[in-house]
Amino acid sequence: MALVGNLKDLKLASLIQLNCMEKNTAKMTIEQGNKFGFIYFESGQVVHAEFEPDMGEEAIFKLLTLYSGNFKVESGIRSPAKTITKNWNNLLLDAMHQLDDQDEGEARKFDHLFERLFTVKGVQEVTVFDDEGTTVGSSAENAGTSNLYAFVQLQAMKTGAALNLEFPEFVSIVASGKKHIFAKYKQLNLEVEMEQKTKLDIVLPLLKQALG
Amino acid sequence: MITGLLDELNNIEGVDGAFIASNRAEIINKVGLSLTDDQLSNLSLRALRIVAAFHKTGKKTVELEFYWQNLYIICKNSDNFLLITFCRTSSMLALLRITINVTMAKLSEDKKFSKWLKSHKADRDFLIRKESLEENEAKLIEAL
Repeated sequence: MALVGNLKDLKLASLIQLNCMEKNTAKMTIEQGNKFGFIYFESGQVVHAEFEPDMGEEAIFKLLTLYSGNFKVESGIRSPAKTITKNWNNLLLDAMHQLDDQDEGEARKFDHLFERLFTVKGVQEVTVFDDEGTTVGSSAENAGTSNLYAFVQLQAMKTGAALNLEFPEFVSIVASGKKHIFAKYKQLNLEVEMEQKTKLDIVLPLLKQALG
Repeated sequence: MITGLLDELNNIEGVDGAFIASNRAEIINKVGLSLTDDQLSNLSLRALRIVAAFHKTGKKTVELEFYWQNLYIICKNSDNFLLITFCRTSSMLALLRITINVTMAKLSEDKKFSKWLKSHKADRDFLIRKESLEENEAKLIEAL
């Protein structure tokens, strides 16, 4: 029977560790948006990984940066290739060091914020953007620009002004089956994409907490 | 009938009032609000512009909510009108949302109201035409 779940609930590093310690031979599939990643284990070692366009250690490294995504582990499936020779312990340690190095950089500036937000049930994607519509951080791979979101925030600001109020604490928009929640985050703006059925009364206090 | 439906919303504890706006951001009917028509029209315009912007990206907006510390504004969007309700109490929001859905359904079924709306029908995209927007707004819309 396959083990299935979401990386929001179980981190990939823990999943790799578990499969290696159990000396599994298995295939792990990770699905995030339209992209798929694969990790193959043989007798408790990671022997191959793919995450388009990367293969081997680079693919593992990229996969470890994902905050969410469905995963499936199927036992007994052998790897079609061998692109990783490093012991799994060293592989994970090296990847973690690389991630730590990146943590210092701009690209991973919002990691901790995203991690906190993804603990809230129903959160699917998070985007941080400026007033000009430039995306400055996103939990999604290949995030586009945020002109629509910046337009929403601009209208929200003008709504407040029309009513002699400040910027709204939250704006929620239900459109085409998704709930988009907007908030100010420091000098920037935040959009949290959620399932439409998410109850605002439950989720907004949690988001508030996660935003600190 | 429309006033009666808005009264039902207004009778819910914590509700400050409600109004209906056309696609042109004109106030069709309102109950219990102390804000001026200009303020309400401006609020409708902002909500309708958001709807139009989402529409431009192929997304259909059905609901918008603005949250302040002690004020919640719930906007329900139909093809031809917008129902906007002001509420001061978060504890009543769940009941209010249900009542709003019922009100929307009743409004859509009201033949007289539908007929009136038809005569005031407008293409919402005109609200985000370049000439009606400020420079920063126009720039964002143009980039969509």
